[in-house]
Amino acid sequence: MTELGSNNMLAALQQLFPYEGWLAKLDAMALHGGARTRGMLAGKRSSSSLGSSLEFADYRPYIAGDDIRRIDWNLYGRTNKAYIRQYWDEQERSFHLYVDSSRSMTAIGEGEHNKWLTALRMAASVGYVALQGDDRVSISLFNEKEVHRQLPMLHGKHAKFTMISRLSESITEASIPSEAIDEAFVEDAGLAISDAAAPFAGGSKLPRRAGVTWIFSDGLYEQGLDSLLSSLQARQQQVVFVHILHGDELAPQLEGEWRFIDIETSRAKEVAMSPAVIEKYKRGVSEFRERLRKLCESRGIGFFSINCSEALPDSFMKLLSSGSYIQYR
Amino acid sequence: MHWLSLTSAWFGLAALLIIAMYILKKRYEPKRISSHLLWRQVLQEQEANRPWQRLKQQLLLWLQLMILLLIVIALMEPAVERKLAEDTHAVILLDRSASMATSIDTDGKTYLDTAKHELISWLDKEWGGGEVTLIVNGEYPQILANQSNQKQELVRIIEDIDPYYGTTDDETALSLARALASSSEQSMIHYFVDERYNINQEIIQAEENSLEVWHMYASPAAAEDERIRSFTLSQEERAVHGFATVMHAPQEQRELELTVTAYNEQGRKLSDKSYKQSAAASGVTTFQMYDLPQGHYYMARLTPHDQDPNPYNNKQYGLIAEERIYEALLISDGNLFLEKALQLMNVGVTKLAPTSAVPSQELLSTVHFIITDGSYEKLTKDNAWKDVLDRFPLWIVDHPAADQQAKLVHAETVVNEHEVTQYFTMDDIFISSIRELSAEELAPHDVLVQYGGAAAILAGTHNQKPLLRYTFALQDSDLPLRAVFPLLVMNSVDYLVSGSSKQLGSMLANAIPTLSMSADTSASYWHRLDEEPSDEKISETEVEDGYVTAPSVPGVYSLIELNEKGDTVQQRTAVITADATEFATASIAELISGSSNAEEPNDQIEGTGMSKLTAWLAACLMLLLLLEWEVYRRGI
Repeated sequence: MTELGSNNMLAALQQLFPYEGWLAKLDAMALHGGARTRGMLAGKRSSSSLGSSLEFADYRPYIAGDDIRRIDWNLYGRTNKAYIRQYWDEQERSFHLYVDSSRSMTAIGEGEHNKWLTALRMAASVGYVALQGDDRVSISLFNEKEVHRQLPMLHGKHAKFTMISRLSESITEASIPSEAIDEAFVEDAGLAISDAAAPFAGGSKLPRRAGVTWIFSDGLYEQGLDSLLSSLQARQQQVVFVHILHGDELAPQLEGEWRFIDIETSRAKEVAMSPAVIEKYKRGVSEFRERLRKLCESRGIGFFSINCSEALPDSFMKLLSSGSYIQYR
Repeated sequence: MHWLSLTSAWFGLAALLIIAMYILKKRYEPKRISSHLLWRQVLQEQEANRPWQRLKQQLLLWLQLMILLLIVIALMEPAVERKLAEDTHAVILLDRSASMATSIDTDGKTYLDTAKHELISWLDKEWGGGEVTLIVNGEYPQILANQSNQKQELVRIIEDIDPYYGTTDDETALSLARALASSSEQSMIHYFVDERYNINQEIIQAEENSLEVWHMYASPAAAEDERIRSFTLSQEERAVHGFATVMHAPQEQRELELTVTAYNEQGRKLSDKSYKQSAAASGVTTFQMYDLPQGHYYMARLTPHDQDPNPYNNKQYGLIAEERIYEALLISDGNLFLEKALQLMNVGVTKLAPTSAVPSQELLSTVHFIITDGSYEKLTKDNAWKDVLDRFPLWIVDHPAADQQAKLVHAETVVNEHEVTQYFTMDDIFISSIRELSAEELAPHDVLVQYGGAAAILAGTHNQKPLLRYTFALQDSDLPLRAVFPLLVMNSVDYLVSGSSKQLGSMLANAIPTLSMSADTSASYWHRLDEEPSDEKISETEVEDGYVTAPSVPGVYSLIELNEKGDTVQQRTAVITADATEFATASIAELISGSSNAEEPNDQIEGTGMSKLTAWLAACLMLLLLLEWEVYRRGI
């Protein structure tokens, strides 16, 4: 690694893990494996297939061609029949991290509390833990149109540097300068309906191998979220949905009359603020989150909600304390 | 509903300003949000009732427009007519001036009689039984009945009202009526006046919201009124000459007939003589009559034409002006103008320097009046001189020092009617400096001539003796060079010696004349000579009681002075006249009909009055402001 490269890496590390001692804490964590799943290569995760681990699975009668070393001779002595001992295989686990790069993610929140930055930091932490655990990690960015910047499957502890540098590149690449807010947005400029399933249409962008899929998104799609989750589950994915919202979205501090421009559809709506309207809005937001939670829970999908106005370690610790997605080794 | 100030409606244009401000108002501020998904519920609700939303958005505008509307309406001063309760306090002002008492309406009754009759019939028919206050004018307004509701008594008082021929103070009477009306909660004022009621427009309009009913007595023929303005007589040796001025409608093609009758001392008619002359186009015709028969007093009568609304003023009495030689004491450093003019008037002048001592009693006994030319202040400081000055009619001519001069704002001259200013005009006369008099010095005297805003000639009395004051030195003016100067001096001398002659001349009814009583007189009374001579003693006065007042009814009278024993000491004849200004052509009828809230003249309307709605509007306004605040606070 050149000096320049190491400097870049340091900067990337600073961007993605700005909290002191955070990496050390992540080292002590492991991602929850969930049920036995089939992998491809040998790994540390118990597989659903039988293999050569030390974990006994079952006996079966010897048939011609079996390795005679695996005959349980003690059993043969007692029963005079040849049985073969079978063991569970240990394979690697694939983690697929999908980060929502739609404009609603990238353009909301200033500086440290940007939704997009929070989502990438979250993904980096999860990816880091996965790679440290000898699992495979793939990271993809997606928006309402396409899945892009798909990283090939990373494996091994060294791959974390690749992951970090690629994610830090994504930070600047996808974020939109806030000056872009202008009067160019006119009412009903675009009538496109944001569809979460659209970029995954055809299935080529979906994970091919069974594993765990983490989705980092604000869930602000008008449709397609449930079909996306269904198709992920159909690909034998255990899904964790990390729902990221900004503090301003949860409880806006607004007064007066506003012309709200939907950052994705460019449609404008005029709202005159009042305490009553704010109350109604808050109710609407909590209903929206509840709907998402129910959508996930009804499918056995993990749902975790994050307020990106809070510090990332705090949110991560809450995730940890829930115990179902990540745990200490 | 009435609008008292319609022009204020222009303020309504301010609505355009408010609307413009709403048009120019800052639009919705743009803000980018992640998605409308989160706002869906709010937006759906807002869109569901969009018309209401739109209305609500403009609610403040509507409220502001309504507030503006209310303010404009309030500025327009709306008022509603209200019926007056029956127990309204009625203030009645009855004009009893000479014009009311002498003008005759078509029935041949005087205005005053008609007014009394109508007032009594108002009490009979329209009066609700409330309190009635009755005021009549005069030198001072008089309250004849104060808040009385005794009808019999009121009728009696009304029937007993006598005309007042002197100078009436009409403005004060009007003010008193209004003051009395405003002191009670519900009140109305009835004015029974004629068109010569002497008030100006500002005073009529001063009280905007009071209920006033004008019962106006006027005749369209008022302009046709013919009258004798002046009638003077003079005697040259044994011949008596007369001079009369007749006022009539201008452009009148008519022959005027003037009859002069001579009477003796007992009021018996001696003889009469008629003069005919065609009317002059200017409206003023003068009769010069030579060789009138001898008599004690004379009466000039103008034969009235058919439509003359006031035959009373077609008659005037006159006394022969006596040719007498007067002696004047002139205290002066020398005043050639005055000396010459006095000599021209046959006035003997005894000159004294201001520094000289008080003259002897012998000299003073021959003097009729004293002239102080620039030395009045100095002389009054000397007690001996002051005593002398107090005993004589006084003619003061001031020589204003530099620090005493009044500021002359313009060179305009105002000449007020007075016997001193008779036949006198002051056009184009220049006075370079006039002494400024204090209010105390001015108050007891009449200002006859005003020059440049300052009083130039004043007349009055001191110790019931005539006093005349010129506030300018004759040398400071071109007046002595004018043709009118001898006339002014003659009038001045006549004024100063009035009351000292055998005849008292003419005086105003009810006036306090300038008189010099005989030293022995202890009591006096008036004795009427004209019409029905009788032995009735009118207004007997003890000398100690104070002033002798002129009789209240015009005519020819003798003032008879009695000594302590009751013997007649002196008997002098006086012509008592009514106030001539009462007959001048002046009409307030137009002023009153032009006034916004006055009723039609002679149109007796049972009271309706204006009640302003401003208080209600203010209450509405406060409610609206409260509503606006609520709208603003809630943000709905």
